[in-house]
Amino acid sequence: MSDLFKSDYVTSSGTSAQPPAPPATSSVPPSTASQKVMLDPAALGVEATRYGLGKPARVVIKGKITRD
Amino acid sequence: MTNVKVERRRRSRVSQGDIFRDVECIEYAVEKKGIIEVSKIVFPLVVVLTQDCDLAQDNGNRAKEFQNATLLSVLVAPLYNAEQLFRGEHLSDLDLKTEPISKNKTPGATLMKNERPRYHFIDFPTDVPLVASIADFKHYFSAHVTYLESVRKKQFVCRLSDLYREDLSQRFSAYLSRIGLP
Repeated sequence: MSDLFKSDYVTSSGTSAQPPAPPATSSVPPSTASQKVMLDPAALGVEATRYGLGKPARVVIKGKITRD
Repeated sequence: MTNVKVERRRRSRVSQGDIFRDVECIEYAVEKKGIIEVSKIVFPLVVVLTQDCDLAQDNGNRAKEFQNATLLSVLVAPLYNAEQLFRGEHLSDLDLKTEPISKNKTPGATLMKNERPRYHFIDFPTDVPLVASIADFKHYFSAHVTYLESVRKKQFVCRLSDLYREDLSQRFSAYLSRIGLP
């Protein structure tokens, strides 16, 4: 079956963009020269991923329609 | 401090109070001279508002001889990051700016106590991978039933427990049916 629709992701500003990014992961504070801190999310009982950190985003898709 | 209870296990159908991530809302789709352009907004989190009895009947109705109870769409409301909403930045990627709300003063305090009709503040338990969020009833939209069904397995996050989803539902109904007097 031929492709009826070919598309590229295009942002509203016209530049190419990736599809919506996956959820952000929690950041671990960097260790300092005087104090080394190792944080193990599993040991803290914290899940590595938290949802809802991002904002709604607009995605514009343009494509050429081919008809059989 | 958490103000809800949630259930983490996914049911066999879309339910009221379900929270999904990365749900799309189509703004427009136009075709001109063989070029189709589709604009959609992707919401990081939404909560299902449609009455659960309607969702249950829709789920059990499709294989029957008559599809009297079939739903065409499901009402959802976006859940915004509470901190971003208080700063007025939660819609900045859509080129929209809203007035900041001071958390430490009366407007923010009443919002967090769910005394502002437009908003519903949800502070999730610490074992739930969701930041404190605010449902904006003014921004409700509909998603097609089959679309939500198709993303349910991968994009379901959790579901508000019965009492808390009914609280959300009742507040949404009250907001929708409000009367603006001159």
